[in-house]
Amino acid sequence: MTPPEVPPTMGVKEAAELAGRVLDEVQRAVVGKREALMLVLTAVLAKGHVLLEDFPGLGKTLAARSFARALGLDFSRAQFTPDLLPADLTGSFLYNQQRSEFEFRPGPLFTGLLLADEINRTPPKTQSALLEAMQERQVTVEGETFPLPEPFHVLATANPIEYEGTYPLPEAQLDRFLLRVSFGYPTSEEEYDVLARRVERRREEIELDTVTDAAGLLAMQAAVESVQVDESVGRYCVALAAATRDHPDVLTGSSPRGSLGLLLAARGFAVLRGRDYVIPEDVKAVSRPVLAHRITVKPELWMTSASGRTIVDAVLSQVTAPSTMEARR
Amino acid sequence: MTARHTTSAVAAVLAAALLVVVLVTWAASIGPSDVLRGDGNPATTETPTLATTYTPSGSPIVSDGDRLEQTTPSGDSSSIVRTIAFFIEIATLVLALFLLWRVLRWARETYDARNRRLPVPDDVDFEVISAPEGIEQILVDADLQLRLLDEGTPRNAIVASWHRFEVQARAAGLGRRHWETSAEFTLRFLDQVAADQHAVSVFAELYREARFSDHELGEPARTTAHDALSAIHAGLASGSLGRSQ
Repeated sequence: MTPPEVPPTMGVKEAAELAGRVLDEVQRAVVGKREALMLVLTAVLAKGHVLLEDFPGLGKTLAARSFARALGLDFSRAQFTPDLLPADLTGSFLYNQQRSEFEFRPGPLFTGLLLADEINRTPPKTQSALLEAMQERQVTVEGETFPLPEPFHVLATANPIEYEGTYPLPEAQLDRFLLRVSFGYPTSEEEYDVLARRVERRREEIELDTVTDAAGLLAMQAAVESVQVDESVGRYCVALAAATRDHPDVLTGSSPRGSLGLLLAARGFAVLRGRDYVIPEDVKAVSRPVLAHRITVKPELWMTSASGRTIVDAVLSQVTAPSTMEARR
Repeated sequence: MTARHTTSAVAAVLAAALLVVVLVTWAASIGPSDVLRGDGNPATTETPTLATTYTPSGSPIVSDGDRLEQTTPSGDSSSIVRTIAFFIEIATLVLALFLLWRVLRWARETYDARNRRLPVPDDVDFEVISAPEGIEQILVDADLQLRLLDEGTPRNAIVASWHRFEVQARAAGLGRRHWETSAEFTLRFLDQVAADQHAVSVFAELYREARFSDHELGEPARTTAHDALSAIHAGLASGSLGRSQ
């Protein structure tokens, strides 16, 4: 499977080195969680959007702000509330009395990195306003289409335990997120490190250095586009996504966007590892965050431990991995 | 909603509708007063009414000969209704039994699904081979493995030579699971025989590059792989020698 000719302005090794420095900088603010942060950066390198789903106080918002700072992107934050309207995100036409005409005032979507905080607290009407922006990287207001700046990424946060006053994201919206990542609780060592660092710096804010800028990120993304994917690995991605549809506990499995997401995320992951080719282990490493949120478990199993995550695990232990010697050249 | 759930829902609605029809038919056949108080059978009732005429003075004269007799529908029609009601009741009973069977089957499937996902293994879920057996298989095959590394293009030579580890593992009694990648399986095997970790890591990286990349892989890669494989063999041979002494 040969990718289209996109001349990379940055080699894979250089992109991997830069990505490593971005991660190191973010880790100055977010203690531990290297793997979760790698997944977030994987999605950004693969030009995707990330849903950070976890309990309150685990550093979701901090991670988003830190990535925006380290990547040198314009950053805006939209707090999703029940009364948020689509125009509050996209922007709207306002009347300019001096010029006697309506002019477009862009909303927070017109940025490099949007933090959609507590995205499940706003009704579906406003949630779906993000759909066009996330998928097509443009917004349409009153019939006029405005392209969003490049790069554009959404890091959305959601709280998985609160149901009162929340609006669960519909499947179509969830499918737009390349990865769903959970940070989880820190270890006791990491948690103490958080306290020690706070005491040491004597203030709440953390100043991070900018490692690269929007142009640098675009070059890294171009480097990801140059990563090779062997046909057997591409077919492995398809087989994994298809297997989620045939699992007996599944009501709705992953769409083809899931297999495409596997491939794209695996390429980003390969670049983080300094490789210009994808191996099956890359696909396995990203399969949980790529596929789990695209799976709907049968409703009668709600009292069991069945979840998207357990089904992805089951699928990984069912689908045949690429063979050892297929590509004799 | 799945097709099975849709069928169950339609069946439930039909059963409820049929039950209503039966009850209405039954109530209509015995009359409204007997629905609550009667013995359930349609009753013939006599309601005498008197033909009344009036005299010029206004006092009524009742004639016994004009007494009328009123009956509910004739015996023929009530037996037809009873027959229809009987068959409808039979149909309802059959439907109720069918629904009960579907509910029990659904409950059993749900129970099985819960138990299916959490199998408790009786023993550990990985194979362990004896290290000496694995080492012996590797050392017996070492010459062929090195010779394969010298034949053909560097890419194909590295892949073919790496594949010998799988053959050796199989000979030692360790099978590759179909969902396991070649690298996962081989690293598991080489870990069990305690092979030189650095050399294994170098060779594994070269295998992955040879197998999954498209870029040029020259003679330096073959040389590096040769060195790594020789180190693996030498480490296992010296360990084996140490154990035998």
